Amino acid sequence: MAVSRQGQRTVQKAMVLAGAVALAAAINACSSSASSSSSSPSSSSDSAASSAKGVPTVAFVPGIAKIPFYDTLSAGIAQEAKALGWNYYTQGSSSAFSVSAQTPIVAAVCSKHPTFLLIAPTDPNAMRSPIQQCMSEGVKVILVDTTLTDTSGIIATVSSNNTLGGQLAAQYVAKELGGHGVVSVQTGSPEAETQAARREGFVGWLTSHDTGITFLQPIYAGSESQAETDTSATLTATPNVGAIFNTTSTCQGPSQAIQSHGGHKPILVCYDDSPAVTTLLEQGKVGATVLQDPRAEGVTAVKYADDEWTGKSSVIPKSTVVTPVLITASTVNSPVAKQDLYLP
Amino acid sequence: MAGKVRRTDQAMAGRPVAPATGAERGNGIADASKADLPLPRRFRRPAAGAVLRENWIIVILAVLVMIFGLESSSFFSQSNWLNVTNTALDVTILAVAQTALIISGGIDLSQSAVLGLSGVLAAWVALHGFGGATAAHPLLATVAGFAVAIAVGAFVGLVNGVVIVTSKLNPFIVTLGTLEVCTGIANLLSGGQDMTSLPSQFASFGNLDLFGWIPLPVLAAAVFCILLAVAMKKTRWGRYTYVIGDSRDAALRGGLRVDRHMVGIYVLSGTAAGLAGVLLMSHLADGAPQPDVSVLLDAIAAAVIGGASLSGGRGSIGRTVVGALIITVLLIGLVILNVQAFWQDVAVGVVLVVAVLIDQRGQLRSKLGTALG
Repeated sequence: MAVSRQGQRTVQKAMVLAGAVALAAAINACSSSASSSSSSPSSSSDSAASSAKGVPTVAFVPGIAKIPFYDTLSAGIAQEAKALGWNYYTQGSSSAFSVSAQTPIVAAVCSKHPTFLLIAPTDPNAMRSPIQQCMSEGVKVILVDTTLTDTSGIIATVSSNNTLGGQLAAQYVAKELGGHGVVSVQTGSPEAETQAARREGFVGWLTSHDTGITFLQPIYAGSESQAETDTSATLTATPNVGAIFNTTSTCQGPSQAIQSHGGHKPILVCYDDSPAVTTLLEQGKVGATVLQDPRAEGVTAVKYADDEWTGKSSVIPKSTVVTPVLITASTVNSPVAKQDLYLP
Repeated sequence: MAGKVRRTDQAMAGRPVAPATGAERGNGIADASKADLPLPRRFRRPAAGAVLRENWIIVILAVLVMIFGLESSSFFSQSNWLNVTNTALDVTILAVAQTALIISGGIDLSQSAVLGLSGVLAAWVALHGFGGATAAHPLLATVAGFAVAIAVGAFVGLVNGVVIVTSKLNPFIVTLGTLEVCTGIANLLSGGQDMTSLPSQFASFGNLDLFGWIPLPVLAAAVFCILLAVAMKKTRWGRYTYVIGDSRDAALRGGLRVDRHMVGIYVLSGTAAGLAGVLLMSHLADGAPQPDVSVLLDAIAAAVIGGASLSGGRGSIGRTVVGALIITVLLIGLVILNVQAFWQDVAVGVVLVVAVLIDQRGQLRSKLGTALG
């Protein structure tokens, strides 16, 4: 019996050891595959060494990982970094678009001392401190998509013109409704900076152009399911809603609610793109969507990094705004629109 | 009152056959009957091997740290140490309080919402009571904000506890309700936006590193964890918590004031969430109303990785801290190694399930060993 127990313990120890080795191997494999999936020509080892050898490293921290918008932005960065022969990798939170989720990732990325950090801050004020810490360690920072209130020390900011995006949506709605009707604006939280600009651009254009359009109370919906529920409630309470403008990338939920609603169906205008949104556009279930051209944001940001690296910092504009485009159900299949759609 | 407590102790001590308590299950907690009923020799002082078997997750943490350290020299840098400890802060505080609750047979799903609410409340008090970033008395604004936020956290815990013990509703349902209420109130107070107009003292406190290596909020969290660990191991309150979780009926028959005790643990949980909220808010200089539900799930996962049984009666504050550190080290280590984000979730999930499996096998073996003499 005693021998048997000892034998069991030996087997257990062997299993733990084997597990540790397997974990190390898995981590190696995962990090290698992550490296090869980016445009990085080197391994995922600390970039400080590669920087010292003269090959800059660009790291990108999105607001949240793996959504079509940030994937397309990342592809733009990767494309330009590859053209320059630079190393590139990206890391983002898989759980939430929040300061608390993004802060440790920024710190972890910066502990590897990339040459350039490209980041979409999740809050214009609270993210200043971790970014400041990163800059104090010698990392040069460029803001993409979203920005900070205090941009001192930042090389450049590259973002989409969100006010113009709202105005493009407003012009489309005014034309489709013939200049009068009731409109509902749905927005999310806490992405205040960009979404507030879209909402203000939308409402401001329709108000300033003396259209006969009136607005319902804004709706805050942070998820597809909540947006679906809120849209259903809106349609029940106000059956004559002419159009719904959602300032977030939440589009399937409102579309589903509209399709399920009997009778009059309002025009739905969304923001951003995904394969599902493209399909809804092709089916005519979504009237239009505003695309931000994130690929251009990524390419532009790396061009500025290259200017900084090659000593041409004086030519870098402090702030660059990329122009959005509006894609409608009737133009979604045009060759021009295909170029603007996000990566799946 | 003191006499009543003494009678309770005597009642528990006089029980001829005590229910299987923490000590018998190997968690190092002394049974209330220990004074009168000497335990078999092998239970008096656990052998070194038994201690190691009981705390095997420390080995897992050490292996993870070793692997990440070997893979990247950045992992052992000062900045990474600060990052790991600051990131583990909120999960650890929530997890240790959640562990006390789980041991007693309860659970608190409102913790992450209370965390968000307390951060917003502290910012709200500083802004509307003292003028925010331009406050004339910034230190007073900071202290008042902290005090109100932690007090409200304790109050939410009190509401949770009182509703649960008086209504006999499932704590899962009650705390789910307060999760929604607290989220709503936090959004109402903040207008749904992050509150960042704060006196500089908030960020000064939250980002002060003693000797360059010990962040002040982390020190506060460590003190909280140590106090709770001592209370659970060395005090009557801690022993009763195990007894109630192990067998509520036995605790009632033994004369314990179970309801009052449970309310106290829910107050502890709410206070901990309030404390975590203000510490996190001061570190990030951001009162964020949207609760990050993953923090709650990580806290429960840390307790379970640390050996807490969701059926109550079993768990350890120290091992929960290690569980929280494992989750944090995995998150940050995998970022440093540039592993794709979603693999981080997979890794935590695998560790959680494997930890519970190994733990259950250990418990089963321990029970069989006891039964076979």
